[in-house]
Amino acid sequence: MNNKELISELARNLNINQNDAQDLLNKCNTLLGGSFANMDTLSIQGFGAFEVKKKLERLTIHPVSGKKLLVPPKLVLNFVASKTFKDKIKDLQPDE
Amino acid sequence: MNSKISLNELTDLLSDSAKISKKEANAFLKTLFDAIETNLITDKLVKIKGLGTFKLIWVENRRIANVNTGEIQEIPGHYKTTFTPDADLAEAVNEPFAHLDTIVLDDEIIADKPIDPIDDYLNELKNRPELQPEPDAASADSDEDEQPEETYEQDEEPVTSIFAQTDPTGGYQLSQAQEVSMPEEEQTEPEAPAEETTENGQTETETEKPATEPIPDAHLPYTPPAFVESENEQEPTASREWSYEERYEEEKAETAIGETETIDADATEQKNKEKEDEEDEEDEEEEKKRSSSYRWIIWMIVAAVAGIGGFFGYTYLYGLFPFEKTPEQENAVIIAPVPVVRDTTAIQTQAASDTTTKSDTAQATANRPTEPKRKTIAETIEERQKAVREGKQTENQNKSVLATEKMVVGSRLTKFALKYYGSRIFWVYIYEANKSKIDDPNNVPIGTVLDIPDKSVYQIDKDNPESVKRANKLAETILNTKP
Repeated sequence: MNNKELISELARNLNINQNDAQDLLNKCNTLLGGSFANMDTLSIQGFGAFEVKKKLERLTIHPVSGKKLLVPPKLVLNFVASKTFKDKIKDLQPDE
Repeated sequence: MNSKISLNELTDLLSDSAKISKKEANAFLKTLFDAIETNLITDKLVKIKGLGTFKLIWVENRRIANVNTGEIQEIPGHYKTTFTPDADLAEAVNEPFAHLDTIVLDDEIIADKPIDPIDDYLNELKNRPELQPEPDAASADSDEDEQPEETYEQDEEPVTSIFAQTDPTGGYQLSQAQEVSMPEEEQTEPEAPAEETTENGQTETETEKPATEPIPDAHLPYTPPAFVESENEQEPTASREWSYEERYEEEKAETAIGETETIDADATEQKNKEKEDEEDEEDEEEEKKRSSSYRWIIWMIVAAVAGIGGFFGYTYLYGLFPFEKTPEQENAVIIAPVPVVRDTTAIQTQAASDTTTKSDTAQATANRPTEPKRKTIAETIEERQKAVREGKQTENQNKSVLATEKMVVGSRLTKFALKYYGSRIFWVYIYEANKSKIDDPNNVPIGTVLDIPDKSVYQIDKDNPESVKRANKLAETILNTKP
């Protein structure tokens, strides 16, 4: 499901037009982005939690050139599925 | 900042920013996440612009061993949820560290270890010439340091050329003289004594030539190399351990020359050979008399002299005085540095005792280039074999006999050859050395005590194809002559 489908579904479920739905979604996303940038953790009941984690700097060797690289630390947004959601997908089997 | 927010707080924020009621905001967010959830389950993939992508990824079933019990359990295949944030969002999140870039670390730091062994190797190279003269030389004189370096430089040029003309082993003599003084001793012995006699005052006519020929050797190419060479050769002299100092001083010069000389003196070889054989005996008798206490004193002296000589040689070589290249000793003596003066005077006194010094030297110099300088291995061997044969067996034993072996059941000459020389083919030399005891090399009676000749006597070298070839040839002749 891509963004358009999501918006149309949201509009259908909320009985609002697609533009409003898109606006809301965009606003929601910017809000989320702002809070994540502040390293906030967002947990959604029944779905999961978004949290920002710091990955420490590390040394790697470039496999081709053989040069040693110092990779700087970075902040990464993670999503951890909640137990309820995990239970939901637990018995799911691949379609094929 | 770092706070935990829930759906309620997000609702508040959304209602504020979108200017909608909290109810609407709450409804929106709920439907949003519900939609994500359900669609994720049905589609396994949900893309939200500005947020990221949710995916369900199938994980195949796998077996794991319980860490505690060691029990093997099977984890059934299942889906796992992944979320990849949008590039924009990821960037925004990583803002605090955005300015940091991956740094390529200096190669120097990485190359730290590979460099070390090279340094060690270089140090080794540096140290080696210092070690070469002799162990106590290093402590004896600080000047010592200069000498070996210098000789090293010189080695590569004319010295080697001189040596190159001499017998094939001669090329190694510089290093051999210092590292393995014993074989060197043996090598020089048959030759050096020729000069001794000049001092001991044997017949003038005979000794004249060997005495004078050294002089052109030392002075004619009286360029640095020649000088250096004479310095180097101190070691062989030292190994011969002369008991009195004066004599040693003189000998030093002579043996120095002696090595190159004997080879040069091919013309007079015939004459010398006879003498050498006699001298061989004398030499060995002297050797026996020497007490070990003298050794140390002499080693020390050698070290000191080498050091001083090296220092002066160094200063002179690098151009205080241009060296005269005339064969006249007077000049040489005048310009020669102090330690060298000793050497040269030794030669000079000797030379002066000869009435025909100058003419002889002149002659010698004239002859020298034309003289066949190359002494083939065969010739040296011939010489040595002669020495072995003619010299009394008992006396020669010390230097020419590596070991003695008694023939027992299962013994073969070839086995001894393999044991001592590393190749079976050299059995011929064992046979050669024990000819008197062996009638048939294929059938040596049990109980026969065999002298295993030293390698140097027959120039035995299993790595030298020439030597092997010679042994082969000899074997053929021996086997053909024997019925």
